[in-house]
Amino acid sequence: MTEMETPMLKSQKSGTRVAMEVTALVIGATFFAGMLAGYLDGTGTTGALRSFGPPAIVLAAAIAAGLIIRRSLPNLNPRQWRYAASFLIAIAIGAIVGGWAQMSGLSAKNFDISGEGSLPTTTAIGLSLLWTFGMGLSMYFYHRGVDDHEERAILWSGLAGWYSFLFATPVWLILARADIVPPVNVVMLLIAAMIVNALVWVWLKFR
Amino acid sequence: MIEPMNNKLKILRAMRDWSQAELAERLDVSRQAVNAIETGKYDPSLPLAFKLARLFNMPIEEIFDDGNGNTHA
Repeated sequence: MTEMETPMLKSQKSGTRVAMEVTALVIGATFFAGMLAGYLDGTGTTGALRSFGPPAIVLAAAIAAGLIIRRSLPNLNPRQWRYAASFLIAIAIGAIVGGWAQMSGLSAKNFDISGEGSLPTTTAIGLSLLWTFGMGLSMYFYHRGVDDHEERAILWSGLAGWYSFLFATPVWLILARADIVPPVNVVMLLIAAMIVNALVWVWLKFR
Repeated sequence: MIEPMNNKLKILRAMRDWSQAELAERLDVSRQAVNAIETGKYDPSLPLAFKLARLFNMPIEEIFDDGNGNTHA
């Protein structure tokens, strides 16, 4: 079929756009809810506002995200649908983890994965399973939904993240053995690798 | 790293009065992918290059030029 025979396509919102809108909405709402919770804790506010205020913001964002998805899904082709689904699953996992932490009564301090505090067994096993299988499912959809260009961005950003780990870890280990720097912190290395990965991915995808 | 090739994608798209988003939709890739190819920041894979060739009804070497003496350029 030549370009002259190809029917004109109606303007559509891409899977990337939908995923970005939903992601931005949820991240923004979570950030705002966290700020509100911090402010209320700081001012010693209790009662319904403290209990239901921050979750209500996240719930409102989830409803808005649902409306965006519902409006957009009929326009998405299978690849775009898989791409959007991967982000939605990742967001859902984040929301469940946040809600779980809140319901478990975990403080911000001992929920910090870089902290030393112990976690309840059920929570630890549950979150581990959620991360492994939830992220696995999200990645399955993601890798089946990305296009040629983004696949290249993934490969290079993954390599950059690995290099950041590969270069930093032995240096930190050796310097720590000489008491020049504090002992190696695995979570710091993980976060650094993730940041490098994300920065390279964004640069290659959107430059 | 291999330097990206020159290509006529922007011209071919303009001749058909397509936006980057429209071309992306026809190729089933993101708009960023079309933009990256047009601006020479990225070379498509062989399957995508064939898809482009079929869409524009042209040989691949008429769309892409590696600078090493294309006979069709």
